[in-house]
Amino acid sequence: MNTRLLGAVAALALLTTGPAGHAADYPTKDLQGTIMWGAGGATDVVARAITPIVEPLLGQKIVMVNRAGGGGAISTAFVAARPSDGYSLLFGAENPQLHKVLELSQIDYADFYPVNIMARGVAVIVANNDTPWTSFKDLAEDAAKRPGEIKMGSTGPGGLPHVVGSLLKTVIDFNVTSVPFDGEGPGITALLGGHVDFMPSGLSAAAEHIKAGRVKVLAVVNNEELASLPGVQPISTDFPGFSKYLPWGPFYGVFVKRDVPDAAKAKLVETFKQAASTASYVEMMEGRGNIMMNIAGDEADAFLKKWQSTTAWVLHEAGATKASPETFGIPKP
Amino acid sequence: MNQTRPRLPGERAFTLVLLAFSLFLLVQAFRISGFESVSSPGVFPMIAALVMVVSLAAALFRDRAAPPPSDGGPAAFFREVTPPVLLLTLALIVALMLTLEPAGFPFAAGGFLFAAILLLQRGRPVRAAIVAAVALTAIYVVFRLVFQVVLPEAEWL
Amino acid sequence: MEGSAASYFLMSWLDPSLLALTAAGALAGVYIGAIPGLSVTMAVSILISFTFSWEVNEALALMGGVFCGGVYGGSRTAILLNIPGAPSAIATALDGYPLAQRGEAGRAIGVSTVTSVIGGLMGVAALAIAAPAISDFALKFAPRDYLLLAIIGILLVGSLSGESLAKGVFAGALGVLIGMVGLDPMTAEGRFTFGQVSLLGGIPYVAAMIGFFGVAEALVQLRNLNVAPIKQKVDRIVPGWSVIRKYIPLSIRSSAIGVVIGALPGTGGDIAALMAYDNAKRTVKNPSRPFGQGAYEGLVAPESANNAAIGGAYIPMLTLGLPGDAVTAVIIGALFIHGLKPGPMLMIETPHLFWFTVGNLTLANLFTLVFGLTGIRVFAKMMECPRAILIPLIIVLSVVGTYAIQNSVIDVYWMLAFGVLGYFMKLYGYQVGPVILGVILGPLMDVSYRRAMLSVRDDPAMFAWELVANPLTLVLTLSIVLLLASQTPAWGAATARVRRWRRNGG
Repeated sequence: MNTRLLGAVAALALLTTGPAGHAADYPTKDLQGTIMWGAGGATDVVARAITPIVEPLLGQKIVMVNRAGGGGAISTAFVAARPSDGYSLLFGAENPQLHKVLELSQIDYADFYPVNIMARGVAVIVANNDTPWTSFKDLAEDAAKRPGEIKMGSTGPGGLPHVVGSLLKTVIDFNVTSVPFDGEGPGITALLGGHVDFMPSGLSAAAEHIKAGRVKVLAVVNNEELASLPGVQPISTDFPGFSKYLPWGPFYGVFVKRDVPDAAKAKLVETFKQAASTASYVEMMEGRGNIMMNIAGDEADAFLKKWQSTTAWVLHEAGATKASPETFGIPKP
Repeated sequence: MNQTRPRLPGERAFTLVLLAFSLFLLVQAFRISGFESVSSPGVFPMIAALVMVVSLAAALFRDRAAPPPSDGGPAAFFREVTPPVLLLTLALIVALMLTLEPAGFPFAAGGFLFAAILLLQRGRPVRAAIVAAVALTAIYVVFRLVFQVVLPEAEWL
Repeated sequence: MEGSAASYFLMSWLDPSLLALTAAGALAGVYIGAIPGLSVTMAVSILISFTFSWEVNEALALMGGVFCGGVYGGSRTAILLNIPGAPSAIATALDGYPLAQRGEAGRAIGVSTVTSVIGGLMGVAALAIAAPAISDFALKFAPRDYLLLAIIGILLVGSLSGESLAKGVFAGALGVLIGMVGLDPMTAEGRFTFGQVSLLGGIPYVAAMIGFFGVAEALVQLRNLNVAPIKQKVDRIVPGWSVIRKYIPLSIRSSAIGVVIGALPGTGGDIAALMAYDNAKRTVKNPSRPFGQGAYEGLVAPESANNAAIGGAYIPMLTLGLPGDAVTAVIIGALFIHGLKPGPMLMIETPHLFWFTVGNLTLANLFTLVFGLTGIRVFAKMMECPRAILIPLIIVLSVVGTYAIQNSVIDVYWMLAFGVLGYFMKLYGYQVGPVILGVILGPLMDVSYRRAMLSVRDDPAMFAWELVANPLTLVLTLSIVLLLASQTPAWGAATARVRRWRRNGG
């Protein structure tokens, strides 16, 4: 206990490790971590949970700064403008892969090297308890009967509800009114208060509310049932048209600029791989309903490309893009 | 609420500049989404810019009766509104801004503190240097060391 | 069950290390809050990584201390330098700084400390007694209700305008427009971005706050370089019981506002403080001095409300796992990292957490009282520092503070541009208070209005119907109508007649 107390005093007096020894190898000074989303969000938690594990392995501190805004475009622009020395990390989610087609930014993960994609999430469709539906099929039929009258919670262009909503529009005739909120948390809040009727959401944001019975889950946006949600139908059961787009979901990773020296990339890949395998981290991530990936380099690049091609074309077919994926050489899935 | 204060030099010009700027913003606000729908992103910016234009017009209208400044020439403006000490301090602030990234925080802020204190207290360089050094150290310790704020650091250091 | 609640409550009081962590947090919080640019949100984020390997109770004790101390600490610099250390202290500066200029900085800090702690304890009491009811109530607020709340707040422009209502309205609208800059959060459409990547994320309102309040005031003070600094009275700092008793009713009323606004997900201590200030200004009949010129009531109301909002913000967090403000959002992240699952099940799965938090926040408030009442003399004496030194220091502090928000030099440029604009505005009779009000409330009004409109599919008739169709919304709508009516001359005549009639008839 006393050591912990000393630690706290040290924290508040001096939150830094003393002068760093000048080792010959990377890294020789503090790293700077840029988080794509605000404090307390899903990306923030993923990033801040892994840094304390990475720091001792790297032997340097990572100073974390949230740089939210512009749907993630602020953070990518910032890190892309930093020197390519491997001291600037980007902790990001899936969003930049849509920035080109939404005309938010010309920078996406093609400009970055995936040090590690820690995990991906699964989307679910949740509804307010007062609604009459018991499955997604009910909702789809109701929506066909009363076009535009049902309110869907969303989080703005390129966000998960927007993509899932577009996916629904592509596969079935699905006309609902989308009301955008500042994030999944505020969206769920509005759902609980009955200000929207249903919402596609990441499982991590909805899991506890499902468990407590404060919202009901209509479907899992996946090909198979999830172990954590027994008895909830995968969306492809009633609507097989979905299966070619699945699995689909958000993901969280750490990136550096493409042209960072190989030695630094290798060191980072090795460290993050080890950190993302730590039992406590895995347990925390899975507890939030994420599926661990822990992939890097070429494997991660392939994943990023596939994700981009699927999602960008779905949005394009639903008429939700500003520019065709073709313009940017994003291949059709 | 009748305004009886005489106008200051440059007051009407300032209001006119603000009015021109507000009109520019109103046009910009209209360009966001025009009158596309009642819930489009441009609605509030247009309302705000319109309120700016109207309120400034109202302010101009009310002030028309206010007595004009006793001496409205440029000399009076520089004496009463932007005295030399203000202009010099602003010049130092601009220098601080421009040197912040190339020279790094310690040098830029240290230089600014020293020069500004020297200017404002008219001399006594030793005292200015000591105060600047102490303040700089305190700020550096609190921000950089305790709270891990990455302060601008020169790349050549 | 009762016995265990008490034992959880006392956990952080009896365990020496938890006690010390709470104290350390409160002490650090007071200074984090006082320094503009360092925010409680940022400090708690840093603490997440730092307390990663600790036990969750220890991490929470430290964070609770920082939270309570930090919200209080914002008042320090607001009173002494007219730079609110945190957005929640903006309303405090309106009367606090005039008090310091009258040489009553010490007393002002004393009163704001005591009423902050009263507010803080009221917030904790509300959390302890009525958490489930308040969180259910908070969920009832639809987008249209947030819009109406924001309108009630923005009406404060009327009383912050100073010599000219037109100029005040202009300042408020300017603030709203500053708040609109950047990508629209709902459609990702750029607004006033002029193709600049640096503008996509908007202009941080803390940068506007530091510029319009801090730098503008410093520039104005340049004109009084040779005026001797105000001598500060530091004899009676801790307010006597008679003084406190006088302010307790207002403090309680403001705390109630703070709890509700704090509990609403989407509004926090900054809005709570502004609304409480507004309420005080309308309801206190005989303030110690006119509001805006150093009324103690103008300190009591916002300081009670912003600290009560802490307890309020914990309410949806503990009962539903939903953040009540930015800080509780970060604490929720911290709970996840510590392997807990914030959500409606939190109180069932980790039963100790609720009463532990209540006990810990109570303790943190008491420590804030202790640390708040010590060292006031030194702070108040800071005001007597020659302007030739104070002004450059304020400017450097403003620059560092703005840079600290998100390590961006561009924000510093904005801050200084606002400072210069604010200088001219102050000189020519425009108040800067409404600008900040607009920056804070503008975005809330914008998104709430559009969400409400989208919910009725852009049908204005339906929108108008909804404003009266729901009891909660109706109450808010009627409040606005009353507030507006009370500002017209006819209202004054009518109330005077009623009063006369009562006196004569009764």
